[in-house]
Amino acid sequence: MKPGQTFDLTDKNIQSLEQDGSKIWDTLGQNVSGDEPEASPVPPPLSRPAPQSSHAPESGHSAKAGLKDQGQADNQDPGRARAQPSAGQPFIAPIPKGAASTAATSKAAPQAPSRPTTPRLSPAAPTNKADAASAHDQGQGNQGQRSQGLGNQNQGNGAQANNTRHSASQSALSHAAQRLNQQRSYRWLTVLVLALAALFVLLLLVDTLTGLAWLFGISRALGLLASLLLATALASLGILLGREWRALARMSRQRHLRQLTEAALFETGAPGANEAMLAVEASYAKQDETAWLVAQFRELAPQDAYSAVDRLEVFEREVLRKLDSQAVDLIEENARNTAIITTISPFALFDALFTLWRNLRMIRQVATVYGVAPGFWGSLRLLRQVFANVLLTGGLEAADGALNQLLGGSLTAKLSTKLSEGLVNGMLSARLGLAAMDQCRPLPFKHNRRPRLSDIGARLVGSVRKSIMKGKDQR
Amino acid sequence: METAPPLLHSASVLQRSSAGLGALVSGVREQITAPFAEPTLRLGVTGLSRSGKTVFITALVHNILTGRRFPLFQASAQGRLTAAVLRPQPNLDLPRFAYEANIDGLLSPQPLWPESTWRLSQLRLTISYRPTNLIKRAMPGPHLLNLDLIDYPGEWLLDLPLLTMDFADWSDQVLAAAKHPTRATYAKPWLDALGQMDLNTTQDERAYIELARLYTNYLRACRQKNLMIAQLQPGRFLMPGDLEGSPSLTFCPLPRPRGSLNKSGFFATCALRYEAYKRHVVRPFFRDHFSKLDRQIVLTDLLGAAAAGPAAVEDLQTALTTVLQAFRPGANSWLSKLFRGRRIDKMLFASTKADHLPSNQHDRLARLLSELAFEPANNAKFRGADVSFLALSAIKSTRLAKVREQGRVYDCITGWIEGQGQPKAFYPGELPDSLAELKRGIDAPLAQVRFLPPPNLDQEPQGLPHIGLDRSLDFLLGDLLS
Ligand SMILES: Nc1nc2c(ncn2[C@@H]2O[C@H](COP(=O)(O)OP(=O)(O)OP(=O)(O)O)[C@@H](O)[C@H]2O)c(=O)[nH]1
Ligand SMILES: [Mg+2]
Repeated sequence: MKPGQTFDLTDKNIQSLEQDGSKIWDTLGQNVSGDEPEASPVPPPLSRPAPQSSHAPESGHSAKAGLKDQGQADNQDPGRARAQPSAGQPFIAPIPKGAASTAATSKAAPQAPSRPTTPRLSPAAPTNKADAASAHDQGQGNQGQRSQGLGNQNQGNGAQANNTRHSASQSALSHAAQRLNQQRSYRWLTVLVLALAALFVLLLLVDTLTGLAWLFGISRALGLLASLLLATALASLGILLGREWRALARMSRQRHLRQLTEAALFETGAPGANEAMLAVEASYAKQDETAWLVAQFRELAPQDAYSAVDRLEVFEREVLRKLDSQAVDLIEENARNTAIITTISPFALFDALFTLWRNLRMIRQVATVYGVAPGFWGSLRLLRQVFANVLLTGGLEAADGALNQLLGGSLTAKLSTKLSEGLVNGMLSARLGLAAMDQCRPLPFKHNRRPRLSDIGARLVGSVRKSIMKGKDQR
Repeated sequence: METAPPLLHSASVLQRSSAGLGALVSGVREQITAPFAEPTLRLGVTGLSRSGKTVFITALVHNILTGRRFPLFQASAQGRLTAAVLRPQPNLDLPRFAYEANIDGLLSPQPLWPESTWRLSQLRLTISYRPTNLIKRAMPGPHLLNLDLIDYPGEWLLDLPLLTMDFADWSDQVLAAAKHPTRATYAKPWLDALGQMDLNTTQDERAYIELARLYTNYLRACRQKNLMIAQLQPGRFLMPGDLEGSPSLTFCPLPRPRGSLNKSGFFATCALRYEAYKRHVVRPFFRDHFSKLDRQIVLTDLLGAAAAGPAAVEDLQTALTTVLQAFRPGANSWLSKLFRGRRIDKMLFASTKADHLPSNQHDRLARLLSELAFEPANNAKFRGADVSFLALSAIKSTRLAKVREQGRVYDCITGWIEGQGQPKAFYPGELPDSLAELKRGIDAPLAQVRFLPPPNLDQEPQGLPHIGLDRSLDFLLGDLLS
């Protein structure tokens, strides 16, 4: 193609006027996950019959064939328009108009481009279903690679340690060595547990089958009923497992995203910024809770006016700011509850269990805010990562230190031990929450201020004091 | 670069004229009254002709007046711009900038770009905002910022280098440039007429008029072909404003006469008129409107130059370098304001009409501009000013499209190309990676087309589409609105 060449918009070789990012994601998204470097640029639902699209502009076509082409194009274009009710509102006539101008619809399309009347903030387009499924497949692929063994997992943790700004390197080193030792002794333990579990499952299976046979022996109806129940149980187990699997895949996808965006934001030349941006956008456009935010974002910073790095900035400022504040609210609420319960509960064991449960729940909620929604195993894994993060960065001391700073040493001494225990617990869970936030965020903190433990702590102390005062007054 | 004019001292005439006691006195007055006066920012929108000044000012004013949200203009993104109004301009003797006419033209059913500017005009936009700065917040509101903008024909900017040249030097330079093979054909009628005349004798006024006309024709031809744009002087020949026909516009560059100079001869009279032009036209213009700028945005039509070929790129670079030497970049402190007068502490170089390129080339465009304007930018940085580069389109009139041909997908843009009724997709080609390559000439030159503003711009949900306008505003105004 020569610079300066022009085309009519009715030309069938024109593939897309970018109205929003989603279409681009369809083609580039596969790139991002590294499946296929050159994915077909024509997204499946939009593709025209293959022989046509490879033709140069129709010079050799008979008039009849040309007419037929047009007809097909017309049939497809409205469908395309319907398939994408979301964000972008074209100001230049989108393809349907151009294509229509040669056909019967031309009366309906006046000179000025018509605007789709769909609500601006409609959630993600229905077409996204298909691509959610394919993304899921990729996720599974990733998952397969990832869960190759403990060694791999370990690397992941190491990388996180590197990422945390204030890593106390020495303690990190000794910690790592310790872990290695532990792993050696754990290996046989793992074998033991696995073997026992397998044995248990086998026994269970045999038992069930014999039981079933026995029931069939008694009465056919009873047997059928039992098999029905068994089938239901198995099916629901399968669904549960599938969900867990999907959740894990989501998490690993999120981690992958984070790697992409970190490279784009912190390395010189912003490598892969475009892919990173499109991947982030697509991932959040797919979820109902965030789809409208993404739609707004696309209107605010359309792809053809902002560079990828700028769009990452806008995304952080506009979309993530809202998610961040939701997450911080959650964290604060949880820290407050933990602190109060610990302060007033008489049983230490109860505190501990309650705190653990609350923290686990908070971490899940924070993850859900960022659209990661971990399953059960995912939460445990997240908890472990978060703990590792907190331990490696000396989070416990930080919590204590921040509290001391806030209250002033003398005051801490004067407080009842219960109350200070409660506050420490609250601070610790706030610290955990912040770490979870860091784990789940698709972008590193760059333009938004990273929420600080001391800020949360200040509010925590204030609110706990207030509620305890109230308690005293009532008494 | 055979025609590079002699380097100007950046301590130019302007500085000399404004230095001294008078400046000190006015500086002191300004310092004393500053805390009580409304803060005012004089933004210099600088650019050669057709570089996009009028469109930029119109878009800026419209966007701020309508209170649209700009994601990368922090004050706007944070919702701190409460309102903006147009207020009476400070210089009552100047025409008002025709903002309403311009925007109406752009938003009409048959949208049009504003006409080429032919005279000076001024506009004051007052922005009311909520500060974040604690000290400002402690003061009673409303917090206002006056933004003073002036618009002028880009041609006039090129008169600036004249201030440091006398008639003979300037003539030598112009004559040398006119002999260059690319321009010789256009210069021929004028040079022939010169050859037939005895320059040292007294001449009838008709001769002045005729020669000035021939010289102006030569300038016009060069401008049209994007040639020699650094030396389209005197600017008023191309865009006379209200001075059309006055004696200070009826002269032309002349070769030095041999022998002793006849005091009433043609050459001497032209030299006198040249000096009068400088004194009465050029100097007041720059003294009144350019010597007191606070910030500057330099608009450059790099894409247009690239499309016109390597010589045009060279010329653009020369023009930028010479013109910008007259401005005074530097860091401001209250002490330096007192003793040296105000300085331009932020300078933004923008490559306009970036909507002629698909978005993946915008970074490259900005990079090319940073190479092109390396010298003036470096000078500004050296003196402590903040400098930034970006790709700009004040009113984006195109959209992206992908066109597939023989298995390859090309990034194209679509829009209403001037003279064609239907929107078309257009393949602009690729910019090279470095200025050196651009100057060597691109084997497939970016074809030059003009896109009309698309219809129904005002119905865009987020306000007029643009490229880089919010970044520009953030850079230029952001700290004053904090
Ligand atoms: N596509 C596009 N074209 C632009 C844009 N800005 C300016 N132009 C084009 O550039 C031309 C000149 O713009 P003006 O704003 O009039 O330029 P100027 O610097 O005021 O020119 P003078 O008044 O002659 O000095 C316009 O007529 C448009 O064709 C833009 O953002 N996008
Ligand atoms: Mg103008």
